[in-house]
Amino acid sequence: MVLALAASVACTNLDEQIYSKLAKENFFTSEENFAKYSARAYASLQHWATEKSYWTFDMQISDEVCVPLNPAGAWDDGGRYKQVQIHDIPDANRLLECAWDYCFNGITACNDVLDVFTSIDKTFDGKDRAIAEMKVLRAYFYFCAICYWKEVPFAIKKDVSVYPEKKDRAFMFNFIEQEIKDNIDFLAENPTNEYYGRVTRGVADFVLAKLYLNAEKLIGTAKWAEAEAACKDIMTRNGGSSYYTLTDNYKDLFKVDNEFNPEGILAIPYSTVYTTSDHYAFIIYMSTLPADLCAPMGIAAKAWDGLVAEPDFMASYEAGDTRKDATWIFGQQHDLDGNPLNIEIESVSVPYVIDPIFPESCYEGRRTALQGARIGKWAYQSDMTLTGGQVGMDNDFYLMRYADVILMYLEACRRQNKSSVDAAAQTAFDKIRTRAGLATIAYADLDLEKIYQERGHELAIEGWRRQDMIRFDKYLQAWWFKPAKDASDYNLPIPKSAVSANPNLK
Amino acid sequence: MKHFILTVLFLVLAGAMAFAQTKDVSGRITGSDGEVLAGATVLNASSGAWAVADENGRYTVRAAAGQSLNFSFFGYDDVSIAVGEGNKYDVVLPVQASVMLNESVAIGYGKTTKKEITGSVASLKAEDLDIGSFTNAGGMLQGKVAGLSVVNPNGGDPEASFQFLLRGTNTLSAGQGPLIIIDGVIDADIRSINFQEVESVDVLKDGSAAAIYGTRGTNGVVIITTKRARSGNTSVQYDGQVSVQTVQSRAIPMTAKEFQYAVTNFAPAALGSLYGGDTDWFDEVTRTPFSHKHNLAVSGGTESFSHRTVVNVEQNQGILKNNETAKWLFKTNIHQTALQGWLDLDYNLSYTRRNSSPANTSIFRQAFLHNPTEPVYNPADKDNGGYYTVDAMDYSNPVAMLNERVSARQTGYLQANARATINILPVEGLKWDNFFSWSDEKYFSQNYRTRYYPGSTGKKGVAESSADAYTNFQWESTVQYSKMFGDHSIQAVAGYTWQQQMAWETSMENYGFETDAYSYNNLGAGSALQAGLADMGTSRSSSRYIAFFGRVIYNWQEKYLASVSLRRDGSSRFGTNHKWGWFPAASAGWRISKESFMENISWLDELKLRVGYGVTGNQDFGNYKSLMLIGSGTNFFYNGAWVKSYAPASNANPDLAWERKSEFNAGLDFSILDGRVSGTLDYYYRHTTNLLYDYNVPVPPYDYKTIFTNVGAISNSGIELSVNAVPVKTKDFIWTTSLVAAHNENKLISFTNEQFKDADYKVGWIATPVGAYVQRLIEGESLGTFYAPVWIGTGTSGADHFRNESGGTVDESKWEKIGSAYPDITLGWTNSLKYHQWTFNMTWRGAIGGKVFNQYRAEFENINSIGLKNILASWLDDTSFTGPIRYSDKYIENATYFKLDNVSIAYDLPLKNKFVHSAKVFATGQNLLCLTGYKGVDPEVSLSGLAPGVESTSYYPRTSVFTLGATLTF
Repeated sequence: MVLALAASVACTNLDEQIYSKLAKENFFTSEENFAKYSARAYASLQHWATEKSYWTFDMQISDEVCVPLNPAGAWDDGGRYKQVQIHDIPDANRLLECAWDYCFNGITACNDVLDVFTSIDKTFDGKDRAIAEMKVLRAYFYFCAICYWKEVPFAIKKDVSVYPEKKDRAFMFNFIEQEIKDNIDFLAENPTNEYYGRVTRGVADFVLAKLYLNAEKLIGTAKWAEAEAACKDIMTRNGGSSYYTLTDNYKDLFKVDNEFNPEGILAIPYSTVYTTSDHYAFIIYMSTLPADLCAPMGIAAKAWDGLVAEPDFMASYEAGDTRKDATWIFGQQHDLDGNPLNIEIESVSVPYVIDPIFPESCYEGRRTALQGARIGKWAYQSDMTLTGGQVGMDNDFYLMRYADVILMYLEACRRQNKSSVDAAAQTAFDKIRTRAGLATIAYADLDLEKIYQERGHELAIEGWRRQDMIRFDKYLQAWWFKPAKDASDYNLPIPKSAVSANPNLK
Repeated sequence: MKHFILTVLFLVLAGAMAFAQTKDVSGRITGSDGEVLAGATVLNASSGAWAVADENGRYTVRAAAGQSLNFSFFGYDDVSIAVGEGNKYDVVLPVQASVMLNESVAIGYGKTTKKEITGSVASLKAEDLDIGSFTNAGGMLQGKVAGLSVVNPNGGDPEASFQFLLRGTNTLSAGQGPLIIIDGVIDADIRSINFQEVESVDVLKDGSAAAIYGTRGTNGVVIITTKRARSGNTSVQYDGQVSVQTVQSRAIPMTAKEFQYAVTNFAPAALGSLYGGDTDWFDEVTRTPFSHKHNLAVSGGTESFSHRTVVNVEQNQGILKNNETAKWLFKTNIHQTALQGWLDLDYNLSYTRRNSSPANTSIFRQAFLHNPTEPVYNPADKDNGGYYTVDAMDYSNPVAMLNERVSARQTGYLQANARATINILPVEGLKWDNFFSWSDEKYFSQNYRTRYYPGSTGKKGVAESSADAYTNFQWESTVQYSKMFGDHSIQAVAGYTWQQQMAWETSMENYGFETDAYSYNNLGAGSALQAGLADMGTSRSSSRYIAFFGRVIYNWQEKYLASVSLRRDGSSRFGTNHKWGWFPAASAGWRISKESFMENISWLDELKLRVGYGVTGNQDFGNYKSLMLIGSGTNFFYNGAWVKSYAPASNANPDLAWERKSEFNAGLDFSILDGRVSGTLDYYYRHTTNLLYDYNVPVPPYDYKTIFTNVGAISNSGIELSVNAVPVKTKDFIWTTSLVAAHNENKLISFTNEQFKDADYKVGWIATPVGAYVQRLIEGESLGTFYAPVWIGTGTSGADHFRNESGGTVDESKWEKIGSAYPDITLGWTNSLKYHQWTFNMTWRGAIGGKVFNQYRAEFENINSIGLKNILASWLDDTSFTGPIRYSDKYIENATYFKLDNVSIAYDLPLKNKFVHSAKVFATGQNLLCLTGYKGVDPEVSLSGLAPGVESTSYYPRTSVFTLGATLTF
């Protein structure tokens, strides 16, 4: 009775009891948690190499990769892959939306971390550096955004009461430039292993270099000298030399255990164990390999057989360029013991020989099982640990690397018609050529077309091709199963979902 | 001492009476309608002696003074009399219909009678329900309540459960199941009782009736009362039944011969897909299942202490091999009175245990599409366990799927409750009732896929184990008062309820076993755990509901009736700004037939007009939806080590509230011709606002892409009719029939508002190769409205042609409205024919109108799809269509159907003696026939959710069930 009465009076408490999740205010109780909160923003980089991402979008919208229907008729999906291939992309295209999400989820995460860092009254070692890391990371995401979109929503505060207004490229260009300049001095200068995967001065300079290099196409004003200077900073910051060096073996950059490569400026660390699920895993093997090649390669999955190299890109390699074999899977296929494989086609067993060259007419129906080189740049684990779409590869992804800096530097010099270049840059460029099994080219003989080709093959499917094609005036031309376009093709439509969620983007 | 002597004296006297001389007692049995009841039975409950009345209604039976005689006859209510000194007793049995009005109806926190009720409540007694075999009590409601659709989308699955939909879809994303109350336990599991133990089911349909359950009342309230303890001699009742099933409907692929013919003649490019075998894959994975059920109930006791105890054992097989469920149920109900009538106690204890091997319905899909020319086995292929294996996406050997996976699930449901009613004797009609209930549901699931299970061959055996526990604690305290003051009758209740539900879920998975011998019994032995690739997870959540409520029911001379209720309801799930809400209701009734001006209308027994209005809510969504929660996400490599990252997993919404429904209901109850025809007609209009849905918000500034919030509005309006009639009634033969019919119109009134304008309006995604959203949410239209290109024929090239096509396809903006998935009219028709000891029952159920998307045809009635995979045999009926697969209205078919749900025949053995009080045998056939123009498996598909009317390709075939049973009462 007493209990009953007490309960009647007191028991009107409806607060939610939370057990296996955290309310935000309960999270920031230790300094360690506080500092590690930036992991949330860095983790958004892991979306880079998921199935539908900024990266896979970039390789498809450029001349690197195409996705015709496979022999089973899959990969139509309402025509979204074909729309990207022919540059007829409606604002509802899912791949476009995923590319957008990469940028703006990243920006949101940086805003959230910065909000926590600045609003919660706690200090910790390296707080200024942590803040600078977030701001430069946000600048990187905005740079990715303005490469695709003419106008983007600008939000650097976390305030849901005001929907962001859109800003044009000129405004954003200045913002990114200023943000990096304001924060670069707080960043770690020496990119020791402690800073692996994080924003350092090298990363800040790299983003600046990319920004300036593309300035002419982005805002109509060329900034070749500034690009050159940003590259030069990276090349000389360690007392006149660089903290970064080119690796001897090109394949080392892409092998399974490729962490701490001295050529890497910013890596996205991936792990079969630690970065799983379709939002965070590096699963290019699922997107490109055919199901029947998996088991012979030591992969315990039935992959989806979608992304293949465009024939013209495959044809563009110089003879002897070892990077072609290092990047693509084509020709006779072998099992792990080196035995040649056969494939059954219409009940007849024929050698498993993949032909990288195939006609545009495959878009009228399906491509055959033997058409189209597959992506093989990142070595695949062959111990049956890759078991399907939820299990990612262990290879880290070098988003920014030193070879690109050398090529950017040479390009910036050539664009300014400089008569000579830094000797160290020539030496580095020679190494890029020789490690690819090719003859060296002196700067004097290095015209823009050669730089374009070199960038294409050195940095194939690393996410820079679209910018390069625009900068070298290739992008509006027709290429393999892609018609010629006018300059409006430089801008992508803002995804419908983003516009309808934020009317300011109309 | 004096008391003791008196007691002894009383006992001696009583004993003397018991041993009193028996004598012949005789008399005449007539009905209240004046009929002479020839064939009526009279039973001496004490001695077991019995007799049957002759053609003049006269009987003679042996009895002694103090013994009681039970008189019974079909169509009339039983009457008991106590034999006294005399030996002539004429008996008048009341016609059942006249009693109907006094039948009690559960209305939540109390009872009323049919004649007094003012809300829309459907009340069913055990005898109104079909006999037969049911996976749970939900199935017994099919076709019985106007406006309540009960669908079994899982066909012959022995674990099949039923989906309820009352008066249309009133939500966009919250649950649609009704609130189920079993013997006072709110949100009880309907599977925890045995269907044979159901005594009555009351369905609170309209807002005025359901408002007493506040935020959980919108989907209706189903109040199930099970058979209770009764005083009297010990009664033992045994129900036993055995049943078999046959396939009634399934998707039929080509046989090997047809496949070969089709490939050779129409798809020569696929000649490589002829493997030379002849396999009927469906046959390989199915069997004729056999099930048996036994129910033993013992009851009896004194006025102050009685009990009813039930033991139930069932073994149910599915047509899919290895798919079965065994169930054990123990339940006891004890009723006790104490403290000189001050205290009534009622205890319930039940434990239900189910051990099952659940169905993997994708086996049916694979058995359908698997190449019939493939043999089952290929002994040479050791890597694949000797199964014939062709590697391809969505393509697995069904026999390997069946044999190379073991799956076991144990469910234990413990329910204990006690009700203590304090009768405040000095104040007549006042009592204080306290109810405590605790239930504990535990699931333990394990499963193992061997190294040869298709699709996980590289994983070397995958073992999974999960254990989930759900508890539900409820305390209710009510004060009830009922009293007649002359012409005024008052029934009032005020109460408080506190309920907490808690869930624990744990799961683990490991793979990489050196041997399959461990099965799922040694998860630690797998290598994936050491490699960091095993999975493990636990979670816990809770929710709490608190409410204060009150209701007053008043009537004057049983002529003018009124009921008013109010509930103050709170739930932890709501946002901080909306934890509590008010839920009022009012209803009134006018028994026109009681008015003096109606007195002369002799054919009219009863005419009552009811109107009601009430507000209810729906809060059937997940816990913690209003909070911003930080979830642990992916890992990040930070300073040389992998660290967990934490990120918001949702946007906060402090304004999150229940979906609010207000409903107006008007009804007419009538009974004419001495109860030969009676019925109910209801009209309702429900208006649901604050609909919950995920709306897109910009990122940034929001952390998360969508916010779960209250925006839209839906209306449902309709008419419900139920008619009961006794078309034929003679001495020997009586035919009773009842028809329920309902019409509902659904309309999405609004979907967006100023702040939240954008959400996914396309729903019902059908995966590739169809690849289309089949329905749209459009303001002003019904939910479940199909949109599609309009098919105008097959071209000479063999491809589909559509209206407004360009390049073989139709732009989504030009798709046309095809129709809604919801039927225009739903029907249920129950018949009972009695001839002496024989009873014949037949139940039909139907739906008129409505559309259903035939996914099997869209995906598989297409020669273009043939090759490795099989297609529908029906393609051969029209070979002009050769593809490709294009979504269109060609596959959106009319869903009208009439089903013969139940046919049963029962015979009451004239076996009444001292030991056996009654014996009945029956034979039942269920789901026997479906009359429909629909070309798929079953036009009756799930109507719940946002994309109703889509037939899935992963399904359980429909079966007919044939049952033989017996009921013996001792």
